[in-house]
Amino acid sequence: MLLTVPQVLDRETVLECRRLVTEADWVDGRDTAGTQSSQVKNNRQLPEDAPAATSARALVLQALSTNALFFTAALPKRIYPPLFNRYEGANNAFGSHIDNAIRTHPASARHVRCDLSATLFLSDPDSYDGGELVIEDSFGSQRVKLSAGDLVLYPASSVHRVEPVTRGARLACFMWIESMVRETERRRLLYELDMAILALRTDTDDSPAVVRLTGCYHNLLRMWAEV
Amino acid sequence: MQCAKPHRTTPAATPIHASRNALPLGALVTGMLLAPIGALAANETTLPQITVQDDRLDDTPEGYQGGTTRVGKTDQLAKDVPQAVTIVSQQLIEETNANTLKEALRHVSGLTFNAGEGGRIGDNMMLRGFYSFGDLYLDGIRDVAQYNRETFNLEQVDVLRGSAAMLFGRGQAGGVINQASKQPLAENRNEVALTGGTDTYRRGTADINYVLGQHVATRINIMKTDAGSTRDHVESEREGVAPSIAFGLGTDHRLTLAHYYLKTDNTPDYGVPYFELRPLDVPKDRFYGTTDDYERNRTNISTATYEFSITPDGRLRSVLRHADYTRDLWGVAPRLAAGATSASIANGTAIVNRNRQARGGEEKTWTSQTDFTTKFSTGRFEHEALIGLELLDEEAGRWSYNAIAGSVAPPTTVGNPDASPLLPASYGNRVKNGVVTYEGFTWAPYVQDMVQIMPGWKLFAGARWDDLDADYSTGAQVEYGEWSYRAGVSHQPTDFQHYYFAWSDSFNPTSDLYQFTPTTAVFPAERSRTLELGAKWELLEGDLSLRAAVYRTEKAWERNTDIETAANNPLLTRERHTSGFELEGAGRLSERWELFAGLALMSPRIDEARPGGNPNVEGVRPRNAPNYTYNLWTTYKLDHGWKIGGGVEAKGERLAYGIGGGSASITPNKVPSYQRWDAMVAYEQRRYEIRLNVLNAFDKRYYESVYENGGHVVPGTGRAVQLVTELKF
Repeated sequence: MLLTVPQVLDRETVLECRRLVTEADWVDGRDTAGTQSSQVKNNRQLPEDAPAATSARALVLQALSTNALFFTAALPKRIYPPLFNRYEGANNAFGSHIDNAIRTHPASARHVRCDLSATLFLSDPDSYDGGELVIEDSFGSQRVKLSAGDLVLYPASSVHRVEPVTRGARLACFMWIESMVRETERRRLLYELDMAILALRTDTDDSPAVVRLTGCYHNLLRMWAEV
Repeated sequence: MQCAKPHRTTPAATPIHASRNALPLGALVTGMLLAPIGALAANETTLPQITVQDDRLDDTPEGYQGGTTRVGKTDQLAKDVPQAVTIVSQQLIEETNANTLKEALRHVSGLTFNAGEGGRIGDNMMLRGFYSFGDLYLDGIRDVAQYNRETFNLEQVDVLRGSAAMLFGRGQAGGVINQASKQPLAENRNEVALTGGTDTYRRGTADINYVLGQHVATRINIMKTDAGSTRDHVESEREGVAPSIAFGLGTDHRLTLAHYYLKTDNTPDYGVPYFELRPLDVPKDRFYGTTDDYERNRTNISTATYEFSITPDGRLRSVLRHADYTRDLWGVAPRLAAGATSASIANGTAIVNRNRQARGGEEKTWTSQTDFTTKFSTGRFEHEALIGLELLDEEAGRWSYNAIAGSVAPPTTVGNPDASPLLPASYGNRVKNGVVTYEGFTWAPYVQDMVQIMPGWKLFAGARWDDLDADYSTGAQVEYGEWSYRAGVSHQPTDFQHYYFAWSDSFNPTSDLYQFTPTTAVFPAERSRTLELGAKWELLEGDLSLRAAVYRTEKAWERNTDIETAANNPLLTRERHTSGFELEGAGRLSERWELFAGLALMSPRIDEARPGGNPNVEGVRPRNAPNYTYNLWTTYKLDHGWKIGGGVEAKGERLAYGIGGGSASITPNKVPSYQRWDAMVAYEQRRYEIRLNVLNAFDKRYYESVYENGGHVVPGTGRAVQLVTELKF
């Protein structure tokens, strides 16, 4: 399931993030890549512990923490600390790859199983050419280039790539999420059910049927969630 | 239809507790479990400045000729001001039915309009290619808050070109726009006007002046407007009251107390996005916002003015003002979603995203301004001197709104925009992000002398010191002390000719009015200087004023005024300039034929990129700065009280593009040039007048306001017809 979460960051926060990361020292993105993907990765990244990354990450997490759509779609259990990348000039693309399944958080040494990947766009789409995130999803290939502040959520199991940036710079924040519900299809089902119930509850008073559907949601979650 | 459902009061026994605010279940299950982070820091605030005041106790000027103005700090005839001045007279405002300041300024050459985004809303003008919203004044006092100004209480609008900090305090390069309020008059005079028009245009105004006693008069202006527009779903509601009272009219001590209240509530219109560097080619009424969008402003300005004629030539004038502004915006800017193609635009299926723009602000200022003007002689030299002091205390807070999750306007399509989409129940639930505040105090003494060195020849020079001390809640502190100067020579061989050569400068310490203050880099104040050579002629025994000017204005350390990019990019350019030529005429060609016309040719260029900026901007024409603008308004009186008139407003091609870093080549969006024609017919009698205005008579599609960074551009009005009935008693 590929889902766009619009306006995770409002304009000001986007600008603040941009300002923070723009002023920071960038390193070669291959530093964080596995051996296979490092062959196709050609971008720049902020070191995980850069102060700017820490501040900007805080802004992103703050915004995510109040974003119901993100929560309900991802059902997050753990989020690997968001990172920032930058594609421009000679370092402008990231070929097809699959994200690592498990990442270990350097500070806590805890493992995060990467069920979902997310990219939060920080550059305005008309400020650069190229740079589409192309995701090979079960529905075929999808090209994603969103407004600054919007986020795309997609299964980490999918093959994806970033097209070369031919003009301007593409700044983005990306992260991996371990979900309480491990399987993509189950998560998708829960999301659909949730949205359907939401629509019913918005349009009508809670009828006994809605209450029972809500119960179904919770019982499915009880059955599937690992917390 | 929309579904902002009321909260229900009979919760069923569901496992989801009392929240009836219809959040997704998953969101509640997982809870907002991420560690809360400290308050968001938004590096912006508001900051302003000082100035002087206008008083016009004599009758309103007739016709389109400027008459007197205080833009030069003392009461002067426009023809005597040794700097380019355009005066939009009350008659011009009325005959063109210009109800907003913006409409009134359509008749000013070399002026273009910016569209706002989230960062800056309200009136936003460019003069001679430089942004000028920090140079808006009301009776000589800084009035730079973000709101949509009305004309119901305006006597005239003065536009003084070029850098003007010596006269007005900190400001930019293009010039100063000064609104002159209606003042109590020593005669009973009342006017009531009702206007109706196409697109449900309804407006009522009253202007009541009443003499209360021998030296006391009161005046009240009232306005209520409720209007649609030729843009689908775009509406505007406005109401205003402006009472004033003057004591001591006709005596040596005069005191005027005035209050101005304006409330506006309109649909913010972000126009259309660009496609392939041109405004999206769709009908001009097509609106991509939603009917739930709003922009609300409330303005309260209280002013006390005391004037004392100490001697026939010596006058003290002291003004104290408190101004209080609030604004609140919830709108959406259209952006074409990725993947739009000519085909998907042609068949209307291309997706338009709606970019939320939501924020609010409050500003409060206290201003005290005292001017002493006098004439004296030293030997053979005649002096006209001005000494003044201005104090300005400012307080501002601003914030953005973080809509609760998911409460965004859904995307729509190019061909069939849905202005009333099914919105989330939480749409418009405004969660304030942290308030960024700004507090500033400025004191500024100034002095100017104009010396007649021989008959017909004057030298003038002035200097002003502005001392600003400001604090932002973001931790930034700004302390500036800056000098501004004005000097020149003025030659008036006869009453009907005036030639001058003038130099003036200006400074501005922060990015004006979005108050973006970089915390990591401190740059010098913006600096601009203008050299101008001009001529003013009074033709036809003074009935027709003509003026011409050539000038060059340079600006250094230009601040970015747009929150869109200011955070990354506080400086826009290191150096830029505009060279230009202006020609204007105003007045009467015969008993029956009047005209107001202007032509501005400009050659604006960016000379040097900001430090670390993209060098490719050098040599490029700045944004929203066309190579030419021209305007004409003319009327002809027929017999029996009939009058016909019409005119044109034209602007050359304008560019819109981001000025960032990197080394990408600059590929601007291009907004096409346009001509808009208006027409009027009126039947004027002593006690009443009926007037029919046709705006944009040829129903031309044109783009009035340009969002400088690109992104969107706002179409001007389509053809509209308004019928005004005015009673005088």
